[in-house]
Amino acid sequence: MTEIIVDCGRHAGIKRYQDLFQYMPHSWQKHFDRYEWLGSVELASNHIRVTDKLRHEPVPAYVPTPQPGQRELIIPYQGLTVNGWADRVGAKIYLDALNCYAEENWICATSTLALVVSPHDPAWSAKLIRSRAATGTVSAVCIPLIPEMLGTRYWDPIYEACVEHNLPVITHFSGVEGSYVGAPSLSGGVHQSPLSRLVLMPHLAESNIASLMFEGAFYRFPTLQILFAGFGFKWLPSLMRRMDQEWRNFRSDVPWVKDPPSTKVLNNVWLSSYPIGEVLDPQSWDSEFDARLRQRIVFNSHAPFGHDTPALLSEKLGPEWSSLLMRNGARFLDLKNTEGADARNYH
Amino acid sequence: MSIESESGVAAMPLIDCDVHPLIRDINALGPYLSTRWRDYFELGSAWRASDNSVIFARARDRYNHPNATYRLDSLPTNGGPAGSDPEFAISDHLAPFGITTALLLPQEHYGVARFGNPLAAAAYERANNEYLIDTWLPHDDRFTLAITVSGHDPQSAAADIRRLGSTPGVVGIQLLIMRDMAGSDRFDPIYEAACEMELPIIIHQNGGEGCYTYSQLPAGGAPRSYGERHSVLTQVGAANITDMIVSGTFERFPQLQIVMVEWGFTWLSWLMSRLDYLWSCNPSATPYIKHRPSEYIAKHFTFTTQPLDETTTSVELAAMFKVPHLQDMLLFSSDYPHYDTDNPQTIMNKIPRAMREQVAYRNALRVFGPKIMRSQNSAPAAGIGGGH
Amino acid sequence: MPATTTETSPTQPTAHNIGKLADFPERKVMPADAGGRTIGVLRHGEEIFAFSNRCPHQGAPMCRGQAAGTMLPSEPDEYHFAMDGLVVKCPWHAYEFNVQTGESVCGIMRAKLPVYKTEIRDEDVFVIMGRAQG
Repeated sequence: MTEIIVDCGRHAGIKRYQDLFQYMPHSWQKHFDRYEWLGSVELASNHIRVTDKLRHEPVPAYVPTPQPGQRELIIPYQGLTVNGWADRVGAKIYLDALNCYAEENWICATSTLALVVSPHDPAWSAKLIRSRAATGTVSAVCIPLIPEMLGTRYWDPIYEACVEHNLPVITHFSGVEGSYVGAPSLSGGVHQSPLSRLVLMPHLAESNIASLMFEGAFYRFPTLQILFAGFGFKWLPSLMRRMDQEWRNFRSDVPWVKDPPSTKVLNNVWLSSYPIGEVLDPQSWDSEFDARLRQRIVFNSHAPFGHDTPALLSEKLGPEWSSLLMRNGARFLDLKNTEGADARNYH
Repeated sequence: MSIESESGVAAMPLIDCDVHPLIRDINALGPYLSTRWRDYFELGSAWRASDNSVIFARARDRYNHPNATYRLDSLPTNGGPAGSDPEFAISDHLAPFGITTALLLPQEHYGVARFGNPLAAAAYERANNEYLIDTWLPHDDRFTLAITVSGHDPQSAAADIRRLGSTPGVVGIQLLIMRDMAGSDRFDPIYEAACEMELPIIIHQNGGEGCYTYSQLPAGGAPRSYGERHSVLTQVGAANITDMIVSGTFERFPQLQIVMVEWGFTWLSWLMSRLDYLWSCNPSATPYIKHRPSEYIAKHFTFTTQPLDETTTSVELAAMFKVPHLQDMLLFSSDYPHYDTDNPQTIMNKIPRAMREQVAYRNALRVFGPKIMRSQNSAPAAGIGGGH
Repeated sequence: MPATTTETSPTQPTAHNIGKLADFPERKVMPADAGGRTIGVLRHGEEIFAFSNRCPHQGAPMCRGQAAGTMLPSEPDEYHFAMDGLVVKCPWHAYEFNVQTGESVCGIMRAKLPVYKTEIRDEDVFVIMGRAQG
């Protein structure tokens, strides 16, 4: 068996916002051509670190390099930060340009794109998905998180476009959650400490999974697949049990939830590995993960911000977990081909 | 009923760390309020007798429970709301299950979490505390009480802790928190008084979570239904634990003990490892953490069992108890008389045998001290008396 | 309350007379004594249903439960009320059980609430126990 490396969350960013201008209508270029917006590329580049350090190591540029036996899903992570923008109209121009830049600069035979859509305009986003889906460069649709939770009908235009083209959804924190007004808040109250915010980020995944379950989103879109990337996965069994318990108590309040919510997690939800540092010593936790649940976890490096590598994965979780996560990742990236399976054998 | 200990010997003590008394008739608080506050709370007016009283924390027009929040069989035979009759609570719950001690976490107070008037909040809490000291504690030695304070006026709360904290039967302080997180130095006067009086702080949901601009909430957005909200309510517990550690609360108060009630515990393994890892990646992120975060959790926090996660396999059941240090952190609770109560026998039989005694009573004894077993000590209960 | 009369036979389950049909109001779960065992009883029109007093979940007293209907499985955001008066809700966690079969509504749990056969003979209600149908 050929061992593959599949990274379902590799971040790529631009160094200069001016490089986006060629992808914008002329007058929008002039609108964005202002000192503070151009300088805000620093903020957009570093929110994801969720730290208040005064100085950051420069973010190395991503150079796509076709590697046999390797696949990467590229997240234009700076686009995630539109969840903190006030100008929702300008955000669409920005995202359009960023996606174009990404397709021209970050895609190769083994790197495909997580197309970043506007969370503020699902109809516009659906059009974007339909226009880009056929290019073959897109493997997932990336939704920045806003306080409108992912289970509501608000997102249906995006989900419709996704399932039409067998594209899974991926979501990831931008780093301004719990910090910028308008972005989703984190659990509890206001956390001024970025350490607290980073620790509690996975609750965003929990809440959105609960929303997807209790709103019946996977009954509206049975084939929809959603990857919560960058949130880890160790918290999932506790949430699954609790959701099932609440369903048993309150089924007739949400009668469209016809099955225990945990079954939908097993069929429709994916989680990612980063950071491996919180799941060391699998023997202490892996008995909560049965064979079916293990199929839902993929590897993501969080590069260039994380320290997780395939070698670290194998060293800390063991070759069995490592191999499984890579196979899962290949399945995830092949979802877009589900109607016509890829001829390459990754198993 | 008997709970088998590790050795298989039956009938060990059982301390129930979450029992909710309610006040049968709010007019009973009259003697504990000055004329000014009796007028303010409009005691005696007709609508105050409504079940949907305004002295209630959860916004019932925003999140309304699909059924009843209390067990239907817990309504006292002599009338009054569930949890309002101490004798009925004994015959209905304490006696049948051989409960040695019930830790009373008063529910009537929770509504003050909504109050914008700190003086009104303090007056109401004071009246509730004194009423329960006078009525429930003398009724039976199996009742112990957590007096309730809130964060509206921490100095006033600290004064009440010092004034009432030595009352026989008072074993803890229930702290109602709103927007300010538990690690805020706003609560320092309360924590200082708690440590001085050797009383643990108990944090239970007040019902306001996710309702108001001035309450805490789960992450993301607004859950739509009661069940969806309840699924993620545990997050607020995790958030406050995180905040206390990151804010250095336990460096300021090394003796402080926090009892987290009804927040669950099976997510602890995740929180402990994530806190440890992310702090190790950037220790300078906070100047206050001197030890691994999980060490603070193990040393300063305990958690109650209810509602215990339900599993489908014995493998999963065993796995869920693998939280590090859990044998020292877990306390039995029933949440009587609420709807999502856990039958003590059912739950205790699910606790791994090796930790059963600790969960049943030893951990509570350590956290609360011998006064939690007052029914075994036969200490007389003293009242406060009404009227100001 | 007069003692229930009981009919037994060496080879048949026991029939316990638990009272007159008129003793049982509609849509109200009532306790009854069947041969010294407390059971729950629910009248629905001219039919009467009897079930164990112990919820299979955590043992709550089902005779203190509520008579109800339920919402059938539906499309998202739709409610379809049905089975009015044929559902008994546990007084604790409100688990719903079909009083006709003892099955939990929509299979929220595998275990059933034991139900007992009933007969009405000249307005007397008999509960047949010894071999529960649940």
